[in-house]
Amino acid sequence: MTRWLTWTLSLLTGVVVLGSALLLLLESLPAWRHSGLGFLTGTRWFFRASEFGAAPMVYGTLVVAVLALGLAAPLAFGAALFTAEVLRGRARLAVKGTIELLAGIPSVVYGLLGVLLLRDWIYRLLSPFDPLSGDTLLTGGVLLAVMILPTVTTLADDSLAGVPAGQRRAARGLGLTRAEVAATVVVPQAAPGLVAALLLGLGRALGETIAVFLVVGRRDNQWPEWLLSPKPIAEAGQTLTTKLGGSEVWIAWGDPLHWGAIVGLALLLLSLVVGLTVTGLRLAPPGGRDA
Amino acid sequence: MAEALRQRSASSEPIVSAATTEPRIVLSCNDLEVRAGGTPILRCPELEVRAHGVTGVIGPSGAGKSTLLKCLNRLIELEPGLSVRGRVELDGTAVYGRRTDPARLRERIGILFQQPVVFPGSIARNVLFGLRWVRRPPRRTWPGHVQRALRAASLWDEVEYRLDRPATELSVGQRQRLCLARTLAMEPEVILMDEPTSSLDPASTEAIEGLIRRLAERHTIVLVTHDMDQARRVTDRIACVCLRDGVGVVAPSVPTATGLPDPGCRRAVEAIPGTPGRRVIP
Amino acid sequence: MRRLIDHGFTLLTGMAALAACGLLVGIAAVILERGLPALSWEFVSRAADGFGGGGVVYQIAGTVLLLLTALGVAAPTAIAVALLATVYLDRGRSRRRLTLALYALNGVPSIVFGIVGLAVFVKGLGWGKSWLAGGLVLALMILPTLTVALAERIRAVPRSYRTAASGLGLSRSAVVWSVLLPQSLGGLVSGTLLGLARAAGETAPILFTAAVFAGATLPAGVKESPILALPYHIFVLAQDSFDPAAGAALWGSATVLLALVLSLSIAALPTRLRTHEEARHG
Repeated sequence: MTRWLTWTLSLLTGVVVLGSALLLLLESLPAWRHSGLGFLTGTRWFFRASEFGAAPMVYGTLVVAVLALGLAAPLAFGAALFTAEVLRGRARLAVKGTIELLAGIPSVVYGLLGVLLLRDWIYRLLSPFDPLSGDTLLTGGVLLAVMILPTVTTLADDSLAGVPAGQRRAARGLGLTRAEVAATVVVPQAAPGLVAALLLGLGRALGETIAVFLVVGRRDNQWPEWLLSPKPIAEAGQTLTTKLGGSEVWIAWGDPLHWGAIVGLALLLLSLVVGLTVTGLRLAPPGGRDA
Repeated sequence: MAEALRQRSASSEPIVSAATTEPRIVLSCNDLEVRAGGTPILRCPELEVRAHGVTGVIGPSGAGKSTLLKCLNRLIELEPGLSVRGRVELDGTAVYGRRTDPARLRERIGILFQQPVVFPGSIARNVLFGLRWVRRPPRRTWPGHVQRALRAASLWDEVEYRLDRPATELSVGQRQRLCLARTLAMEPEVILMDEPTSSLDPASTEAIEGLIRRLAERHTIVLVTHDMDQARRVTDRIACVCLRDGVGVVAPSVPTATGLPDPGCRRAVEAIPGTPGRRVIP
Repeated sequence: MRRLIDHGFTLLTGMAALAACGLLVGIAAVILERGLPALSWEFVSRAADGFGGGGVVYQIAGTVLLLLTALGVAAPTAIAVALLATVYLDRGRSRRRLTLALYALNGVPSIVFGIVGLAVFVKGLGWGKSWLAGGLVLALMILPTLTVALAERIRAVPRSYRTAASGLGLSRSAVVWSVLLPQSLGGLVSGTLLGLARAAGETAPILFTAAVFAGATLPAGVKESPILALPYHIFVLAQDSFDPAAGAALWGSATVLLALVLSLSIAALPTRLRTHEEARHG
């Protein structure tokens, strides 16, 4: 009975999950048929003209996520080194606990702070360049950096602290300082876990919707003149998630092509994030290498 | 019973080099006390470690032998919740002095643990591990350092042709000698050994014990052991740690040949499984 | 020089940690500073007036309803999947695949859940916006959190317990009910708390499936029965934050949501940290 119930419920879950993935694939078919690979490379999105190019949104997503990671990673790794290598006992638990709580703050609250504080700070910061508003890709990136900071920190700490204490003791016994032990013993061994922490943090940054939605400006068809041009960073933009969270989703329903394009964006986002997550997990399997 | 123990130790003739002149004191503890939170767990009123010889520390498990050892090179500071007060001196410098750099100190006082700890990487890398980062000798001298240290640890003949192989390929006994080589490469004045043979088979144990005797000619060794036989085989002097009211107390060292004077310590040591003379109650 | 680098290391990493913790304190302080003045018994017990004023009682009720629905669906499913992963799947490879799938599901962006929910429930089944649709979507979203926490604990139950129970002649199901589940209840509880903390704050999945800003109280059925919810309330008000009347309600709602979420995650914290630290030292 227990066995039967276990299998039934589990299989049902599996069917639901796979069914959802399949649904995304099927529903997006009209868009793929209409635009082909142009869906990925097209830089123009005008649904009334049936033009669906996702590239500006992919660009926005990547800019925001990479900004977030670039800002958060040094701070996160520093904090993780401190909690794993310097702090011990209760102090360690207290700091780690605080950081884990930070990870639990709802994204809408981060978004609110973004709207009311960060947006103005960024506006003032950018004022020499005469920005239109504080709603920019940069604002989204900074806000995301704060949001993924705890995730990356706690994952990095887990992998640093996973290096056996005996190795630290042995290296300290040889006369190495704490910093030297960290650099020669701990970090090299924890490296895959640190990379995984970055990838999982990146995954979270790519998939975050609400907070970015509130501060990114949501301007369509922002495409840089040359690929590494910094200009669009200080301007409003659109990411995959903010497009999917916008009211255009309601308009799209009913027109199979437009809806297909929206679902295509969701599929694109899904494959980006799940790809990163799975790569991260391959590098540092949860619960140790043997799990 | 106690008489028997004393006679046996006298008759087994341990390898004691009879000192003609008063030997130099390398390491000394005075009124040392280790506390966990507020409660004392180990007291060492007086302990002297003489140069060039093996000083044994014996006692039942849990009495604080390893804790005592870690006090000597301040590795105790890595244990959360423990605090140390009192004096430890290494050749006249205060180990816990405000201006003493613990890292420098640990270069001079090497340590070998119960379980060998090898780092990921090759055998050669393991030998050089401390040296490379602490002393930073020029790269061309590395092979010489590796060979010298491995020879001193009697491991050279077994690994000469596979220095680049991962250290994890070695047996536990070999790993322990590799750890010894790693410590020896730093040319420490004092080597602390925390039951270095407890995880080894009899053959490896014998090899390590022989090594300890040879090393004692040039180094000062403090050996923690729970095996009275081993103490008789290897040590010159012996100090006993035993539990009194839950606190480990270190008695001053005495020549191993004369046996343990303190009856409490004798009883504690005799109670250790494997010690000859232990009364087995049927 | 080496000492200097070491001090620099401690200082720099310490500052990073301080900054990270300071962010939490800062965020909490900003919210509380502005939110506390807006809080009152009226605020949590009265209905909203639809223009950003009034109270948030139905927003709280809606959020709680969503949480209960998600919990009711996710908890039994999580038990089933966790048992499958630990007991009924014998081969290590399929177990690993299942774990990987769970973590992948955990990584799926919440807005994707929202889009799927919109396609299936709201449009496909013609429910319109409905609390049940939101609850089901949230259940799928928190399923991995619950399952992984429970499975971790089931794995930690000593093998000897299972063997002993089987030795008494208990069937595998009986072992599950008598040993495994009671022993790992803590994992289910902490996983549930964490999952609920996440679900309570999520806006994206309920954006298209369940939540409206005004004009709903408690649902009477399934079809066309939307609810109000705290995060959605904040989301809408935040987009119109220039209205000073909205300000007080906005910060008040944020305080209530933050209090709800943080109390859920604080409740889960001790078990969670303990499990992690045990896994490290065990």
